[in-house]
Amino acid sequence: MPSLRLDGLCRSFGATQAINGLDLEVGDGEYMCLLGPTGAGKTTTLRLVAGLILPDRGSVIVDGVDVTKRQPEERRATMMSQTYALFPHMTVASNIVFGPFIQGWSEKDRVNILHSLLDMVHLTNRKEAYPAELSGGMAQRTALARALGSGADTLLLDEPLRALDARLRIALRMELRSLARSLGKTVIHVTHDQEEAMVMADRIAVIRDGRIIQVGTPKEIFEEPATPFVANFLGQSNFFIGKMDGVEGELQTVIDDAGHRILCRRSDDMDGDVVVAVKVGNTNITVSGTGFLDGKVERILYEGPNLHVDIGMGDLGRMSAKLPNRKMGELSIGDEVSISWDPAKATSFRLPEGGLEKELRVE
Amino acid sequence: MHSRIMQAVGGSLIGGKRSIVEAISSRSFRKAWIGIIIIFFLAFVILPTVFVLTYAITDWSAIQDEVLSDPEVVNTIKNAITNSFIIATIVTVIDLIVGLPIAWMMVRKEFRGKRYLDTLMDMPLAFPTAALGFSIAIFWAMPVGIAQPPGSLGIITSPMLLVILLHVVFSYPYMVRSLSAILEQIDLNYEMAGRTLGASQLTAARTITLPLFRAGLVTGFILCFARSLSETGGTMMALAIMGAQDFFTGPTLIGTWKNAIRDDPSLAETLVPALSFVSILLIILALILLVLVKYVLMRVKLPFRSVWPRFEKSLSRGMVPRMKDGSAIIFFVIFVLIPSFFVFSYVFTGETGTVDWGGFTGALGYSFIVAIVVTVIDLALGIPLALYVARNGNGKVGQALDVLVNVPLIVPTAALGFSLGLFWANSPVEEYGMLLVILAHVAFTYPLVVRNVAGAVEEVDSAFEETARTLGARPIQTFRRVLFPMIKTAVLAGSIMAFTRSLGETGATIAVNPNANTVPIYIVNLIKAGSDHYYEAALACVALIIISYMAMLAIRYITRRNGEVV
Amino acid sequence: MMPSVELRDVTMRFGNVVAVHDLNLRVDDGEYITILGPSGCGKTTSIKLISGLWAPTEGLVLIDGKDVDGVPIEERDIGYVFQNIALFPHMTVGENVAYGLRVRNFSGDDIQERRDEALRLVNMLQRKGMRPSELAGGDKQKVALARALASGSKLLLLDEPLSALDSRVRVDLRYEIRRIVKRLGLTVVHVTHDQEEAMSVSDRIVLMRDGTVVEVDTPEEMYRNPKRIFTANFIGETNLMEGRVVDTDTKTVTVALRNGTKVRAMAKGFNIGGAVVISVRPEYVYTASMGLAATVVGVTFMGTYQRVQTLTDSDDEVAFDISASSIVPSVGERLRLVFNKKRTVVYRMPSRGIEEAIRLE
Repeated sequence: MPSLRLDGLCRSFGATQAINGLDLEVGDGEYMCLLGPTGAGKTTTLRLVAGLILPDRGSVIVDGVDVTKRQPEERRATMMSQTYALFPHMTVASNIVFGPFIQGWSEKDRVNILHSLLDMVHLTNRKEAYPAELSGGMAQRTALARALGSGADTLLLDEPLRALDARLRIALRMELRSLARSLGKTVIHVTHDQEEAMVMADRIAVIRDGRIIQVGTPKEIFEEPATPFVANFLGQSNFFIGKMDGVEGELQTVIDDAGHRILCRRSDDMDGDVVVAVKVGNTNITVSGTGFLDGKVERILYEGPNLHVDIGMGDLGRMSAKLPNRKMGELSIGDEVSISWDPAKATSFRLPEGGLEKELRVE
Repeated sequence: MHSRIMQAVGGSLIGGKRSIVEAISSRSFRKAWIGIIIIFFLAFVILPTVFVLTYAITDWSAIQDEVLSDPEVVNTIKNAITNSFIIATIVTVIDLIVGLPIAWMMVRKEFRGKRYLDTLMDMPLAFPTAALGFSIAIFWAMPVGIAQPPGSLGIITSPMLLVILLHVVFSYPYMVRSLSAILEQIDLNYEMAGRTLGASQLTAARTITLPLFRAGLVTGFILCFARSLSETGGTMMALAIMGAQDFFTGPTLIGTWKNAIRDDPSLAETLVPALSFVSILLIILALILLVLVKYVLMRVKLPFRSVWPRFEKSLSRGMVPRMKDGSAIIFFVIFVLIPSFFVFSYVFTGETGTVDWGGFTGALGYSFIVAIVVTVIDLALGIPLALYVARNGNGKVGQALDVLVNVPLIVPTAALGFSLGLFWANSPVEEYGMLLVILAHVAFTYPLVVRNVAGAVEEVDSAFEETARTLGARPIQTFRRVLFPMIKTAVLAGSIMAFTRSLGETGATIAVNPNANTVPIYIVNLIKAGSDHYYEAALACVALIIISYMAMLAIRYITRRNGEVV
Repeated sequence: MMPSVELRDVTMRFGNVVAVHDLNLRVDDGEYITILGPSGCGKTTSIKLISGLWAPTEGLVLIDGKDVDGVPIEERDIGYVFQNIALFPHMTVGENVAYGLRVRNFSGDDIQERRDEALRLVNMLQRKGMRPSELAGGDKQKVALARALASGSKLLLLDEPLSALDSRVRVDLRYEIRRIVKRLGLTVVHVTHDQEEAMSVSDRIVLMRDGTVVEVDTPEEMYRNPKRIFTANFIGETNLMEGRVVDTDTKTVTVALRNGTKVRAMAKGFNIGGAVVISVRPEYVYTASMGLAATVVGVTFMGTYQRVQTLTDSDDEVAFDISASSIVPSVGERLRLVFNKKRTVVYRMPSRGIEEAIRLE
């Protein structure tokens, strides 16, 4: 199984620079999620790896061999597109053995692999069906079986769950991951869904404007975001803007224009304007006066496992908190409350050029 | 699993078939191949089509001496071309007015008998225009030299009016087809959104769907205009039957003069410059018009902004919509269906005459050989170009080809034929009359195949081919196993269209080789030979109609069957 | 209070296919209702019946207490936001929003005022002159919302308004939509397949499956006390375990799991010996020194918490959550699990098995 390296990839379409100096390494047998908003260059990256388009500059290296100029069919990397692209004129079975068929496997080998794949994706009793007769989940599994059956070592999954209903999407995450894992495939999975990436990935690469801005395990990305954008894209954050005030052991204080003091984890080389990000899930609500900042509850939404609470903070604007659902009943709209957080879980960044709003834009 | 693939690939590399696949899959081979196709397209289709334009440079003195200095010739040419453009304009406007409601009805409404109406609607597409010309002339006008056939109205005495009636019949389906094609693509949700916002049906259709519709209007407009401008055989027939010897359109003038040269080769010296001049004018004016229509219709601000809620609401209800649909259908029946089929009534009720079956079957054989060869060439060389245009439509070359492919569709076929004749003059090709005819027919049918196939390929999500490639399929395997099965229907439709167009073509054939013995020319010559041969001509028309119609039914049968499987 | 929308015994058939069967639904004035369910459950049909796009085969549709049979869409005075956006591509943002006002014959000044007001509401006034193609997906949907609101309809139908958007945009926008409609006091019927979205925006959820209503309730009740196994699984995640009732008293039921471990739950109306399924959500499962023995099979980092997957000795898959900072149990580790008695729900074993009862498509 291969390791994969993308080295300084650039690719433009007309005046648009879709990929702009993209570097990424994917380990042998690793499940890598490429996470980013629409238009970040996720799909283009995948197409560059598959060889469906050629880069203007940079190279694609598989197991140390430069394959940048190779034809798609020579790369042993198979793509599963968002729409699955099941061949409408072939049955489920013919779709699944398309790869082996085209590569000239013997009839016996084809039948063998067909049966094991059908079994793996629970489609044995639908093998004579045509794609148009399949439900969304079945179509997804057929496409997956076809990709697995092609003998490719690398799977390139382009939003493989997007076309499904929300609930089904959650149900199929684990199935998809464990299939890829059990066959030892190297996977690049493109998604815009941060929860999906977090649950499925060995490592996540956050992509924006054609560049990778952070690579790491889900925990690293969540707890130590490299930029305010990452802090907000994975799990939504409350933000404060201020100036460095002082350092105290592992913590530091940031003070804003109105004099609010914000406590966060220490980070070196900070001067001038600073942004502090606190995940809404790490934001606690306590009785007024007992926390860091005071405000008034504006809205409480019951979201199942947790409550989404909006708090009006006066000149600081609106902050949100996600609390466990057992807090329902302890809060009501109009309550004077105080918010606080574990300062070790609050991260700080230099204020990005162009301002915070532009930095956080997800479209 | 891994080693098994290596084995499979390694083993089959020894086999010859696989190594061919390997060889033709290399990037350099594919580049060379598409290069050859493009060269063919330019050298055998585009260049001959517009070659006559060079005549204006090389032989301007001949045009000056033989044409411009003779006021009578200039006058004839001027009248013919003016007639052509007036007719084409009126025909297109009529098509638009009656085509829109019908297209709307076909796409947006469900009613009993829709399928039959749909089939009927396409019928004039399959009818050779020469046969239509005959049928329509004896229905509307008073035929010269024979008694008025039973059922004939005999009320039209103006040649221009008769030609307009004729042209509406065969151009009308083009308008309906192009409008419905776009209408089908426009998401119904737009109109629905308009209605949830309070717009009545008519208001929503007029302010939302119509403006999104321009592309369809432009295509329909250009197709109808070009068809009318180009038509030769039917017009010659109709004019001959009503005895309008002095009324010419551009193409009939070319046909007449070409025939004159055939009968008396000494006329060539004077007539070739005149023919060149007419062809040049037709080609240039047609191309200018194409650009103009495209530009004007796409840019001009249409008065879609104002609304009259109450008035339009009253029009959206009750009798009005039904009356609109009803009158469109009545128009279709009276002006299209009955005149088209009148030739059948003539054959069965008119006076019988002697029939030279040998001459007819000879012509039929000739026509068939030409049509088959033409279709094969179109397919073999058209599909690769279509793939290239569809998949590289954004590149510079792709865009240029996309525009060029329309040129032979716009240029009147008689001018095209004449130009092509000049192009191949003094070359070995000239020795083989049938080859010339074939080349001429390829020139104007090739774009039909390319258009059809390219359109279908554009509809196919490229994810299918891309996925196949990443699954290990070579480009040629991808085409054969994945793309081709998905566009089969369009390939078939394109080839049958090319086949029937070739079978029914008069203008290009006369202009390139007046001695060619195709069925339409055979029929035209029968009519020209006098009223004694009308019955024979009518029978030939009926036979030709039936054959073409069979071909069209075949397309429908096959497309429908495929539609169900996929 | 007069319900704003009411469906009475509505059935919709397409040939032999029954899309919606005997549907009854009341939406009160000012209420935010979500029709939730998997693909093909009949939710889209329902909203099309309300809008007048389709007429029901049987039954009545009432808006503001009046039967609207035969009233065409354009006269129902409904704001409608489509899934695939349907902004008119040939008009600017401003023209799109003004369209409904123009065709309803508002005066020129009035049009401008209401148009700007609606655009301000969704924070898009500064984009008035742009074309839809220049906008990002979320912004387009905001304009679509402004367009639906501009003429002042009191009933808003949202037909999967967020499903075409990126998940992050979707989350932001759903809070925004709820804020706007509540400020205007509108009645909303919102169709979606996303249970999270439904939970966070609705006053009440109508859960549908196979053309019928499964359950109607507030998000809170539906999450805490789902009346059907399907609901328990569809709304949020849950652990389902098979067992038999071994003891009952007035308030509680004791269930023996397949390995004999006994679990108590607050429930009544079960007979001893009956086959049952119990449902406990991951956040109500705790580790303890006694209880159901289980082996850890995996741990997933979820941001603010971690989810531990286990296989119990009763051969059930049970997941539970621990905080992000807790020490992560290693795979293969043996644990004992207990459940929050008040949050453990008991169901009779469905006649066609659990698989069928929770099937998603």
